[in-house]
Amino acid sequence: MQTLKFLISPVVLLLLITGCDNAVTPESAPEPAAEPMVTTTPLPVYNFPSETLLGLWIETAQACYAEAELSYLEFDAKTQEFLDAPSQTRLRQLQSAWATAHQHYAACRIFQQPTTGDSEGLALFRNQLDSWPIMGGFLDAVPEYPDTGLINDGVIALSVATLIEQHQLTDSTEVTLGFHALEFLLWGADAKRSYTDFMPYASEMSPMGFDTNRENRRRLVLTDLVALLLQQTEQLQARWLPSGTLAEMQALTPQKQTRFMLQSLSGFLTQLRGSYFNENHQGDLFLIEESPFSHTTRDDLLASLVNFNLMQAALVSLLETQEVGNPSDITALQQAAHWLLTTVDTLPPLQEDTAADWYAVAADVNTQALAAIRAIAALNKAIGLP
Amino acid sequence: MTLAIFDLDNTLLRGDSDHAWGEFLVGKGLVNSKVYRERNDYFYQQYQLGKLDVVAYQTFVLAEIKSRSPEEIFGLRAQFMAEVIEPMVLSQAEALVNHHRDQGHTLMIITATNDFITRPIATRFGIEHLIATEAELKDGLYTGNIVGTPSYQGGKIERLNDWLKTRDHSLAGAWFYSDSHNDLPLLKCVDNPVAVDPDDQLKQFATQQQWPIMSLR
Repeated sequence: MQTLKFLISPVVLLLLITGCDNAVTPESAPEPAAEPMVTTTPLPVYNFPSETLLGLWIETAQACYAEAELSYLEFDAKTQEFLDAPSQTRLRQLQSAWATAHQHYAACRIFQQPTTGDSEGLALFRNQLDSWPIMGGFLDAVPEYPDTGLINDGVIALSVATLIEQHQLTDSTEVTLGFHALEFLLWGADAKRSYTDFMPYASEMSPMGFDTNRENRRRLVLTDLVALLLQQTEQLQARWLPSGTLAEMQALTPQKQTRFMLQSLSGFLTQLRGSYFNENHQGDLFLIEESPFSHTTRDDLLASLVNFNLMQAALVSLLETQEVGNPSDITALQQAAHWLLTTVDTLPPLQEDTAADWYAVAADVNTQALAAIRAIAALNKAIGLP
Repeated sequence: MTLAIFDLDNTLLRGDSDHAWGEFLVGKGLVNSKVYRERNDYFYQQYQLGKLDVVAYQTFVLAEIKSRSPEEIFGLRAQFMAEVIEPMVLSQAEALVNHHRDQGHTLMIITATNDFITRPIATRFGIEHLIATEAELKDGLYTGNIVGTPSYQGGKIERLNDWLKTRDHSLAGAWFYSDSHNDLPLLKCVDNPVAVDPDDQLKQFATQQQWPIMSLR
C-alpha cells in the first residue's frame, strides 16, 4: 500500500499543479488497490526551469521578428524606388528584397504557432500572409491567357478591400494576398516579368469611375499588397511583445510552458508535412512548390528549419538536464531535426530540372518529420500533462 | 541550353571562401588560432602552387564542421555569409552572372571548396547549379569526410561530365570563367574559356591561346 501511495501521489500532484479540469481529487479518487490501470512506472514531478528556456524562446522570437521587420521595410523601400522609376535593375533589386523578406518570414515560422487559444485567428492570418500554392491567372495575366486576372478585369475596382474579398473566393489557390501574390506579380508566370509592366500611364477611366489601365492597376495592387503585408506582419510581431499573448505564455505553469514549446515544434512539423509533400489517393507523393516563380522554395524551407533546429536543441537540452522523457525519444527528435536540416540544405533550388532530386527524398522527409512528431508526442506525455 | 560555368574563389569573389572560413573560425576564437592559421595558410599556399592535397585539406576544414552540432554550424555559416562573404561579392561578378541569366543560359558554379560553405554563396548569386567537393552526411550529421570525387583540377571535368549525363545537357557553346591555372583542364574543354583576374600561369597560357582575359574588380 505504501508503494502504491508513492505511485499515485505524483500523478495527483501533477494534475493539481496543472489545474486540469478533469483532475481526480484525492477524495474522489478510487482506492489504489481497485485501480488496475495504474502504471507501474512512477510519473515524477519535475521542477522545470522552463522560464529560462521560455526566456530564450521569447528572445529568439523577438530577434527573429525584429530582423524580419527590417527586411519587410527594405522590401517596402525597394517597392517605392521601383514604382518611382521602374527599370529592370530596380525590378531585380525588388525581387531580391522579396526573397530576403520571405526567407525572414519563413525563419519565424516556428514562432507562429498558436499559444493560448488563438489558433483560428492565427491560421486566418497565416492564410492571408503566406498562402500557396497559387493560381497566378486569378490575379494577373499568364502567357496562355494575357487578359485574365483581377488586374486585367476592367469591371472590378481594385482596392485593399477588393483584394481581401477576392482572396480564395472559390478555391484556396485563388490567392490575391500575401507574399506569393506579390511573388507572382514580381516574377510573372514564367519568370519573365518586365519592368515595363509597371510603367505608369495616363488613367483610362471606366464609366464606373476607376482606372482600367492594366499597368496602373498592377502598380496599385503592388502598393496595396505591400502596405497590407507590413500591417499584418506587424500584428504577428506584436504577439511577442509584452502587450501581446506573451504575457499569457509567461503566466503558464512550467509544464504548460514546456508543452507550448513542444507543441510549437510539433505544429511546425505538421505544417511542413502537409505543405510540401502531399500524398494522393494512390499513395504517391507529389510536391507542392512554395515559391514557384522565384524558385526560392529550398531557401524558404531551409530558413524555417534552421530556427526549428535551434529551438529543438534548446528544448532537448532542458529535457535532458531534467532527465525528462525517454532518452530514445530525445535522440529520435534530434536525429530527425538534424536530418531534415542537413538534407534540405543539400537539395538544389527547386525547379523543373531539379524536381527529381526533391522527389528522391520526399518519402524520407515525411518519414523523418513523422518520427519527430511522434517523439514530441511521447515527450509531451512524459512531462505529465494530458 | 548554353551552360555558363563560373569558378567561385577569386573569380566571383574577391578572395577564397575556404580560406576565409578558416580565418573566420580563428577570428571567432573557435579554434586554436596559431595552429589552425598555420595549417590553413599552408594549404592555401599549396593550392596556389597547384600542389594541394584536396582530400587532406577538406578533411582539415570539415573536422571543425564535424565537431559541432548542425544548429551551431548553420548559425556560424549564416554569420560567415553576412560578415565575410557579402563584402567579398564583386558587383561586376553579379553583373556578369546576370548577363548570362538574361541570355537564358543555365548557370553553374564549379568549385573545389566544399558544398557546405559554397551552397549559400551559390544561392546569393542566384545560381541554381553547384558542383562542389561534397561533405559526407550520415544520419543528418557531417562525418568530416568527403564523398565522391573532389571537384578540383581534373576532378572538375569528371564531376561535370557526371552532371551532364544526368541532366541530358552538353558542353556545346559553354562558357567557363576562372582565375586559376588549377582550372586549365576544364578551361580547355569549353568553347568559351575566359580568364578572370588570372594568376600568372593562367595569364600566360590564356595569352598564348588568345583566350579573353577580363577583370571583375
